[in-house]
Amino acid sequence: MTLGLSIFFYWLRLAWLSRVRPDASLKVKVATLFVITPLVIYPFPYGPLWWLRGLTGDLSMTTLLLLLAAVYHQLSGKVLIAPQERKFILWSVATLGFVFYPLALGVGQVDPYVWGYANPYMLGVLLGLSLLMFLRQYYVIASLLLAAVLAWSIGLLQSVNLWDYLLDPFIFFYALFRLVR
Amino acid sequence: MLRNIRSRKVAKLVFFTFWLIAAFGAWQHVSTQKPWSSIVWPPIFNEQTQTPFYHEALIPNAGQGSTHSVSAAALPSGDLVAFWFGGSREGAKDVRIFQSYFQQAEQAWTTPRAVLDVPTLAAAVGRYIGKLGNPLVFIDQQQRMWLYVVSVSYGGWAGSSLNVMFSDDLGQSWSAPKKLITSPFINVSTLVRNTMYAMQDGSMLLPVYHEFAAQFPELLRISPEGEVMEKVRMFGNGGGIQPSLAQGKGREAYAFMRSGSHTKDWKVIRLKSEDEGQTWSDFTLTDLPNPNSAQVVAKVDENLWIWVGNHNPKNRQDLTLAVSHDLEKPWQVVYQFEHGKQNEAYSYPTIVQAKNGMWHLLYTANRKNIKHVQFNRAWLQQVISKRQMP
Repeated sequence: MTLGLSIFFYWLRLAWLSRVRPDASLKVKVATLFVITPLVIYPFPYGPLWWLRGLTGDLSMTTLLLLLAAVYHQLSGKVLIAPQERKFILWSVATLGFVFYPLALGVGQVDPYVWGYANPYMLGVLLGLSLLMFLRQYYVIASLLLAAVLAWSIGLLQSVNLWDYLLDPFIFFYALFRLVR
Repeated sequence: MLRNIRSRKVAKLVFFTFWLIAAFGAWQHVSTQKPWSSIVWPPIFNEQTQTPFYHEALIPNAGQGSTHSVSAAALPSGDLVAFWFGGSREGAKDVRIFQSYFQQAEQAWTTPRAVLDVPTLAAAVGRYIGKLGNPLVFIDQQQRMWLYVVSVSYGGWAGSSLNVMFSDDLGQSWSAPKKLITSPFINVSTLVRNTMYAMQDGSMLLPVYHEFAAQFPELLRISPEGEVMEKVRMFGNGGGIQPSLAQGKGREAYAFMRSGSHTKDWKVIRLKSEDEGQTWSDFTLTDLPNPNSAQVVAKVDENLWIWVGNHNPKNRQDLTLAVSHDLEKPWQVVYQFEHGKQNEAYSYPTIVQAKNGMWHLLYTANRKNIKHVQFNRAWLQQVISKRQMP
């Protein structure tokens, strides 16, 4: 499933377009996405997606949905995520990644990555949090958590580990970067 | 106003519907999870011959400048199959995975044939691949052959990930390789070296190791279809790499690890599990020196285990056989298969017992060839007795 990377290329293209032609119409923006589609929709050998996928693997559902929101913003100019919720997402991702990655990469004896293999407690926590966030009107973060569990349960990505649907190093470093800046 | 209320209601309905679908999907996954099973240790074949037998030969080189990291398995017929990587040099783009059969009756290896190269793997897994590394072969209880191959897209071996392919005709033809996702950080770094084991419930236990930022041994529990079911961290950083598993006197399991480079001790590390490999403890530096080089342990009978590796803390010039009558007591060196000169290296041993009871040791000889040593129980007894004589 290379959808996340494809959307990243779409976002990159739109971000570039908004710099060189800030007044580009929606039609021009959509047309430019059509033009790059053959290059970024399938990882054929020596294509940009093929090279990048070698480095990154597949992106998590969290990154994919946030990229979709960014593409929507580039196309329509409308903001999908309220600033308060955006900050909350960035803090959550940064805190989670800050604890998770060192442990998963060998600091200490506990490996939280093992909880991603159909662990009922982890699934319960994620589904419970998703419900709680929805009731507290944090709709985006509720949807991100729900999308991760849904995509994992139908095996949308190559991984069978729930963490790979929830988090990836790119969204973690992005969150760190945005918070530090 | 009315429309706003209505759309909120629809949004709530959609969210709760998907929430229920996700909860149902999660419950289905959890309910189909199998509890940890017990390890099916490979059978030990007894041989009646009293005459010591020892024979060594080189597997024909298929024209590669460099060959390394052999893995072998015994076929149901009693023959052997071996895989290794070969190319102009380790890490080069032209490195391929080679396969060869040892025919017991003819006492000869077939001409090696390449079963996997970089372009084939890259096309199959849909991403750039830079190089191929360690292969690992295993034949399960349904006679299905599994071949794991380490690959790297960018960077060194610490950036490795695993790929697996299957053969239902004992290596004549292979399925397309599939990438395994085993690590959360851009899927680095999981490598294989020593053999895996079947479990009672049909799953497999694959010893692997991690090298990025920290070095430690791990186990992957793999479903019969080849998917990762569980992961076990055997020890944290400094716990050694390339675990080789062996059954103890009872049901306890032992793991012996290459020292790794995150140590100052340069000794083989031992861990013990009392629960079929689910948890590991009793971290011990054995009396076996190790120059951060591959080593392997095998059980010969209820009272004898053999270890093969480089028995010194500095180089790979020797390849030594040591024995133990109790895995928790000191090892006794009984034989040297190789005592090379400077600039020579003998490394990456693997041991397989064939159905006729013959032991087969295969290893890298000077990075130019794969060497094959056969010995039987009588020969082993002879070298042990000689060593024990005053």
